[in-house]
Amino acid sequence: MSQPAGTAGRLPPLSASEILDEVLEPSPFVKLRRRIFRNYSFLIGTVIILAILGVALAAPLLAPHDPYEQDLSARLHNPFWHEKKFDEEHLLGTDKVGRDYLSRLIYGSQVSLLIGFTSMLISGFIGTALGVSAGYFGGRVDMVVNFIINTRLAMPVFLVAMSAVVVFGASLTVVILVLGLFLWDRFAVVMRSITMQARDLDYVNAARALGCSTPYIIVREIFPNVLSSLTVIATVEMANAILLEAALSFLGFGVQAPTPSWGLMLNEAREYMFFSPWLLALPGACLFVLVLAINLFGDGLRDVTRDQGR
Amino acid sequence: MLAYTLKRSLVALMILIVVSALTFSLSHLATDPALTIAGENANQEDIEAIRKMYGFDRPVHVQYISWATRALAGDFGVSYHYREPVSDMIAGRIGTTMTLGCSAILFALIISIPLGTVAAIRPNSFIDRVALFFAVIGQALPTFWFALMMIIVLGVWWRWLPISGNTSWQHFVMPTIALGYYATPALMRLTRAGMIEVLASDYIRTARAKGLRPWKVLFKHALRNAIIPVVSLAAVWFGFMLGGSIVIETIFNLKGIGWLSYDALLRSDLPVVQAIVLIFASFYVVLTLVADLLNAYLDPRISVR
Amino acid sequence: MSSTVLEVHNLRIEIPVAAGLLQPVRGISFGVDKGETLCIVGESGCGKSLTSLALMGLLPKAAVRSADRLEFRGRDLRGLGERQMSDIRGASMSMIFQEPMTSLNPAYTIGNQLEEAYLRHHRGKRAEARDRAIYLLEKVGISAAASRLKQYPHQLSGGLRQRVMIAMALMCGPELIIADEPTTALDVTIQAQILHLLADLQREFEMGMILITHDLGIVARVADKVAVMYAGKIVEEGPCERVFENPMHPYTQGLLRCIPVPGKTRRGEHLGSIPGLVPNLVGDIRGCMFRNRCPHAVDACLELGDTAVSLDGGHAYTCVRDVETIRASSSEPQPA
Repeated sequence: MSQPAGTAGRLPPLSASEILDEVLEPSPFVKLRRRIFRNYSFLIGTVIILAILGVALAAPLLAPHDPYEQDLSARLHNPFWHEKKFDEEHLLGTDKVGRDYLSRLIYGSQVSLLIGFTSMLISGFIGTALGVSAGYFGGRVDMVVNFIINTRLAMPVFLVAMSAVVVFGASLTVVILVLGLFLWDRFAVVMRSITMQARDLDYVNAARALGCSTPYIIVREIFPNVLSSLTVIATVEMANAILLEAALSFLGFGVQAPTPSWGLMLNEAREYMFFSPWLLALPGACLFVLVLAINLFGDGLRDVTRDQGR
Repeated sequence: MLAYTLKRSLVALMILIVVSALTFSLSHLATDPALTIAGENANQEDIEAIRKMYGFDRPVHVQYISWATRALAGDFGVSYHYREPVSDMIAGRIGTTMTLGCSAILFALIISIPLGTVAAIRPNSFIDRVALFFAVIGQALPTFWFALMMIIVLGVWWRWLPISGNTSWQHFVMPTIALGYYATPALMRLTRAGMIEVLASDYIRTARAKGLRPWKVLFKHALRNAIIPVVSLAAVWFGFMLGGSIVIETIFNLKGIGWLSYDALLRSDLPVVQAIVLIFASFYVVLTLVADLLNAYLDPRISVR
Repeated sequence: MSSTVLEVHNLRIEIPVAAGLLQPVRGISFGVDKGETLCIVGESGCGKSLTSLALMGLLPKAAVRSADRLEFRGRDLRGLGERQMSDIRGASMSMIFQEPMTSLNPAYTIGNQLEEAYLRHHRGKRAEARDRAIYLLEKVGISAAASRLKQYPHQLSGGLRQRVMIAMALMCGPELIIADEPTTALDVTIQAQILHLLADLQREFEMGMILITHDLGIVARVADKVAVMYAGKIVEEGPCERVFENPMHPYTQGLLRCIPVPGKTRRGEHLGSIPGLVPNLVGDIRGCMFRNRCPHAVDACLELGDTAVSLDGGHAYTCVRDVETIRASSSEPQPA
């Protein structure tokens, strides 16, 4: 041999990118942060939700008037973009009994967020309990839970919710309970399939082999796995609950007057839709923006967390 | 296949029994229908008499069984308010709701399948982004508010379409759009996702390797496989749409069974409400059953599992 | 008599990626004659599958194909549009894929899928298509062919499906058949059957065949010619026996040391292995691609690594060292 073997080390590397890849591999946290800031829907959704949450929490400070205070001398004042019948006192006008529309819209965010969040908690609890137990235990438990899910899906939610409101009387609590008791199906379906997959993971089997108790395994080993999917469904169901509450209140089967709920405001505005369409446009737009923000947040969250596990 | 059909049908029947029993006992335990029938000015004796006459003094499960056996024969009792057989009231109105539901789901499918397919053929293209944008907007738009805005703009400002009633096909245009658009984002996303997955599959490459024309690869080999989950979802959505018809029919004053159920709920007319709940539930159950069987036919692997 | 079916000169494939320009195939040339089997050998990721897809015009949209010459039966394939390419695909050039389990559409019967291949290129001849399908199913060793036509892919085993895929490729009597690792996904016992079947059919129908594989055992049994690919380039090519008996390129030598030879490899002796990884194929690379794994690398590999050396009988390789040095070094025991 004219040259000794093993000179490969002295030769320049084949291409520059090979070394760069190793040096520039970022930490998982940096990667996550990059994904978050590249995900516009996640960012926009988060910002809007935080803004609305802020408005809801600071409602007493922000609202220029008492949302319940009627002023029959100042009925149906126009909002600021109209020339006539607008007064500086009421930036977004007044409703049919002279209540300040801006204040009612601000307080309305409380109702929507409260109903959306609490009924999502209730349904999330029911659905997760059913889904996780079906997925973990399988067999007969799974069969029964599947049947319950299918039965629930067969019920026309809106009609049954309206009937329940008729039977138990209309109030905020009843609406929250009814929605909470009905909107758990997606939680159950998704949790069931995810738990099924998680159940067969090696470290879950390892925990079982070590003799860990079933509740311990579910809480410690399986729950962290399903947490991100759980959050995504939670956003979907919260948006769903907010829309359903608005529809129920709109038909008069939800929150009762004089509570400032966006759905109820639409109901009250309906008789003026031809002459003062802004009475309809404003609460609906608020609903739309809130639900849009929650959906964007959920979609973004799914995208951000999806690649994380890989 | 036969065993699969039988098994699925049995489950469907059981679901219907549970749903109807639940709604029946809920309404009969929580309220006293005798009070509703007798009206506000009735005295205690009248109420007792009515209770006897309608059989409300019997235990709930006895009442349910007698109601259910008659319901099986198509007899849903008599409306408390209109004193008319419920089956007749429904029969006269169900056509309107079916027309609305079918046109709404067709509207949704006609929009979402081509859009989802085009978006899948060119992911991240302009069309894909536009479709995604409308999907995000559509999912956040409250149906009833969208309907009201349509009435204001299309009906009142521009006077293109009639805003209330059901005497001509034009009356169905806005309700169809209002009810149908809400299903399009979900159907479109599923079509897109399914299509992207199928187009990347090995058998599509095989089909192209045979020299098949692109349209044949797309329609014969790709769409059929991608459409299978969309069919199931469309069936589920049709069931949801019947429920949503309550709001839409009320807003547009379309006198179908959605409107009827709203009217009955205002008057606490329980026999009507129960009958409609059962009808909606049956529709859902039958539709998902048909969708499952159709899937088993379209994808021969399903019935084997 | 031998007539050229396919002739390829300086074929390149480029795919733009985030990090730069990925060049999985970097200028390769080869030819296939009628009734001849060319085996393209190499590790996974060396560009052999992309080469086959490039010939068929089935590359992913992002990939760009270029070549100085790409002639199939004397016809230039370079300027052909999708429409003209699809007239050739399945008719005179067909392909068999690696994954029989997923390469058939689950929604249609195999009869439907077989006949479709024929009907595409012979319009309206349904009865003929059916007869041809039955004939070919019997040819590929499937019993009760007529009743098999009504079966769905999921009702068949992997080996049977690959037989169906072979029959499908033969439906229009192609002149060139490209088999991309047709036996990798199958059981070892089935592998041999499928391989013999392919070789028999190729001989019987006098087709040109390109067999892509990483299994040198397969090559030794069926190939007329061998092309060894490494990192997007052909490092050695030639008639099968010559390459096996007298491997010139260090990579080929390394590959051959990886397979045990009955009677020659002693019990308990370590099989060879090639240390290191295939290089990242993004961007231009100067010199010999194999130099960072090569036990004989010298400084000249950086500048002159691509020099092609032709020996007699069509045997050629690309290495800077002279023939005598290589012969001497290949007989020495290698450091592990």
